[in-house]
Amino acid sequence: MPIQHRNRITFLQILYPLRMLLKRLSVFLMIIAAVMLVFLSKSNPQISSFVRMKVAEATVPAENALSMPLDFFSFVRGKIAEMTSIYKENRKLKEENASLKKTQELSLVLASENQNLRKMLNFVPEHGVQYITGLIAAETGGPYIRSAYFTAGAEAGVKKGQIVMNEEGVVGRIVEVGENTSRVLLVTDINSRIPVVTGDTGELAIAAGNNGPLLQLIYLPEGSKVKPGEEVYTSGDGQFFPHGLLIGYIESVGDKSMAVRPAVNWGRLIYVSVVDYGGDKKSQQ
Amino acid sequence: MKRSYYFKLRLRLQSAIPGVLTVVLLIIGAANSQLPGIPEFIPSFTVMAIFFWVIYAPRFMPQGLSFLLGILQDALNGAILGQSAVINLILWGVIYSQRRFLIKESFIVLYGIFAITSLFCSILAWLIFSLVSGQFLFAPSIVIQWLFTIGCYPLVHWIFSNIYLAMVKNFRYSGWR
Repeated sequence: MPIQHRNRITFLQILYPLRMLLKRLSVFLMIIAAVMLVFLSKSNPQISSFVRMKVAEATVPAENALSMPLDFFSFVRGKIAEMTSIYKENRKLKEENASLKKTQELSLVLASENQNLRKMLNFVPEHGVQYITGLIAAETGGPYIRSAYFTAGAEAGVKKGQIVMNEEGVVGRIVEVGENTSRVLLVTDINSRIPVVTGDTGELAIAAGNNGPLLQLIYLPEGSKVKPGEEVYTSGDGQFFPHGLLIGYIESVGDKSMAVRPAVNWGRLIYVSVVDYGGDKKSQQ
Repeated sequence: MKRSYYFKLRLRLQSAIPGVLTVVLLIIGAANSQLPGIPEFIPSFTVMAIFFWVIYAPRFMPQGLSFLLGILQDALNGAILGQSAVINLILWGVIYSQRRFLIKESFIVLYGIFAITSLFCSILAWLIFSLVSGQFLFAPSIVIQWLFTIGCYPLVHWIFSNIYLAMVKNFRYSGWR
């Protein structure tokens, strides 16, 4: 193919050397721009938050559609697993039912007693708990951040700082809210710090994520007698997490660190609920 | 030779295929797979795409596109914006400066070079993350992600090279330089 020469001289042709220079430098200029963007979004988290939520709102429907067949597969897998263990399950349920009936009677007695005692103490009832349930559409890729996108946002009443749970335990906390999506920082993220209390020994500590599958208990008092298998709950210190939500179980007890296995099965994270404990009111007071 | 508007439009749209395909791969990678441990091991598709397209056809993977892919990647990952863009652009510059040599190499040699390049990208990503977040993270998942990236590369290379060959044929046929 011969090179075509044009006879007309255009403005762009005069600027050709300059354009070539810019073309050669473009990678460096863009790297500088990207580094500046990193600093900008680090110093102004609102900017990156805004862009992230816009991207999330655009991609979440596609991701939702993509995970639908996977939802179906895990549904079928679950059904098959249920079928195979149906007899065992039935026996277990009967036993459980018997013990639950006893507990129910007891709890009814306790509830009425509690009510009477509250009346006697003139107790001010806590803020009502509200739930917003939705799907986890996307989990973030890469080893650096543990977060997920939730398919409800400000329109449904989701607010920053609210707690995300499923039936197993605490999943994480809302860190960014868009109109129809929001981002959940999972408890295993390296930036996640939750004030906790151990179930039996009642020791206060902080459960810190490290992007791995386990949480680490830090700031545990010296000489504590925490045992493996013990439950770990939120302690209610700080403004975000109320008292008594299940985080996980002590996995191993070492000299320097203790590992907590989260109660949530990350492989089956589909439906989750955002729980509003009225944390906003608490932080305003 | 005068070409119709639609003819040019068709070629323009076709040259967007590599970028669009990479975006699709990124979105698939981000979808909730409901398999434990999968999200952390999603291979870095952008590194593969930039490596392939900058060697064979940099016009389909310009610097600006690498930059935008980095922003998209960060937005999908919930990371601070620009981190991946820096890595993508450095990768772009390095590969572009060496593409005369790389284009002649056989797949096996290229695969070896890709393994080393993606390792450097992982190390760079780790460094930038540590600097930005102010804490040194050591997670074995970084190494596992690198291994997954290497493991997936032949398949992605095969898909991309098929698309590339089809595009070359089509472009030659239509007299497009």
